[in-house]
Amino acid sequence: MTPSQFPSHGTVTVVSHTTVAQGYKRMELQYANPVPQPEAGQFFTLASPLPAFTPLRRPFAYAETFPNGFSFIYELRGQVTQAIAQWPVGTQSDVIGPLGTPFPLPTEQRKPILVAGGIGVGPIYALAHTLCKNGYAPIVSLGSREAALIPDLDWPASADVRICTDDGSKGIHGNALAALQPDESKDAEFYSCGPHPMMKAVYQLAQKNDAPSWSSLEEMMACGVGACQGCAIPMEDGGYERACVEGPVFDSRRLAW
Amino acid sequence: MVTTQIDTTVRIAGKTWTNPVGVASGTFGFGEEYASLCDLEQLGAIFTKAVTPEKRDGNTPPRLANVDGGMLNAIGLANPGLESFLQLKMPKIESLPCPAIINVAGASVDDYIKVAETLNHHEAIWGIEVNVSCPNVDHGGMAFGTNPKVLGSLVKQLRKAYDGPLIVKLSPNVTDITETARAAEAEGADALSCINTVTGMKIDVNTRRPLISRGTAGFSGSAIRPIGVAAVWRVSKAVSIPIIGLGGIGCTNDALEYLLAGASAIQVGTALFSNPKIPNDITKGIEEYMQENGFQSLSDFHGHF
Repeated sequence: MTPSQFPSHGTVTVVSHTTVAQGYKRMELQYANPVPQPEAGQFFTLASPLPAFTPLRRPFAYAETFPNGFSFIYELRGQVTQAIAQWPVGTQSDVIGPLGTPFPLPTEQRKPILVAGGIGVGPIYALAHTLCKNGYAPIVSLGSREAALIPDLDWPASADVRICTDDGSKGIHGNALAALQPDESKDAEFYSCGPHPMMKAVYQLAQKNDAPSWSSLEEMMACGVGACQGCAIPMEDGGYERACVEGPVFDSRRLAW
Repeated sequence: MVTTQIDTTVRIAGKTWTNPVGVASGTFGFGEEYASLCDLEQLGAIFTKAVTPEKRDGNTPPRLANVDGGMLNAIGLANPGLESFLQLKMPKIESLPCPAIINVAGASVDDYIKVAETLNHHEAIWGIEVNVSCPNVDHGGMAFGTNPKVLGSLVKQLRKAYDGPLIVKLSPNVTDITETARAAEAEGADALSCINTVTGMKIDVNTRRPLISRGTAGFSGSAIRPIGVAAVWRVSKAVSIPIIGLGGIGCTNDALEYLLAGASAIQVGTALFSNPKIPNDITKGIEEYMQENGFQSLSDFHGHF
């Protein structure tokens, strides 16, 4: 997969907006005109709903793509997400996207293992759909503190979705890696998005199995298009790369963990 | 309605921009990043990301924070260095449809001279903007821009090294900005960019740590606009060279404030992060304002309040 070279800036309308878990919502946005199709792992920036107070656009990962629009899943975290959470269907805003480097498809013959924690579920959901459309049957492990925080989503039928909760209130009692059997990690290719310790653990498991792994990182952004150098991610060989252009998906082996 | 013939040309050191709306250094990369989001042909000028002799990785993250009415940044002059700039960025700059002004920075006088000498007489470059006001580096940066004698000495040497338009970007982090403005003018600066970011800081009371790893950072956005307008107004009374106003410009009226205060041109910076089309909108808005108010040239703004 190659990232789209030219993001577009267009007006979008909210066509669906629902709560999918405690503190998590899904918003579906539709463009008036056709725009470049995003790929799993890419993101867009949404105009701030409070521009005088907090002017920066906010990045969100795509969760689903449709011919004239897309959805994303967000966590009610700060003033901006609290503000957009109030948007009724019909609200208009503007979006710049697609941005960033998407997840690659697995290396031939490798079985994709997807691990998501918290709000990392959005891009992993997009990737699961992409993989299933391409004939893969991924394992998807979702980690959460408790059952109420697990988004209710329409996972593709050929994905093997496993739920893990820290308190055991649903699925497997333990973290997202508890769902994986040791033999499943052999000949796998790992994809993760979520809290840093979770992604690091996935990377270490991949290393132990000499398997490729990809991590989708979150970093605060200003421009989102590669101009400002604000979203610097430290790399293993020194220096930084931009979460908004070289990322947000990185080869885990290149990151300074 | 009678249409007035208006002239939005900006003239600095015998060279021109077709309109007074530029984009600020550090917010627009080297131009290519915004090619699909902003009409580059309609820009007065692009002020590039700073170029230093050596490659700089920039500061340890986090480098950004949201604050009321703007943002904090401490990027640390991250740039590919002069050699890579010439190899990788210059071909793209050559194809830009508007003037490219290279922001020049360094840790020593020799650093500034090296970059300026290398860029001298380079056809694709309209001019240079001397960055003596970056608040986010340990050496150089603002140290050159807060002492009039030190600044004057640097500008004097740069004037010998560079023949094209030489613009000095002033820091607001001084007691009296007219002193640095006069020093730059006296030693041969052709214009002044006024202002760079204001030193600022934000602390997370839960972690009891600054949000920016460096501690302090540059504060930009609409909240600093009154500081910038006041600086331009004071500097315009102190010098006779053109002033390029910046600091918190997000719409036509903001730009008009700067022009009325005495600026001959403006730059849009942080507002690009909200909407990359803002410079194009402001260019159109200034023309409309001039038509409606019978202004024929940008110099008509000065002294109109």
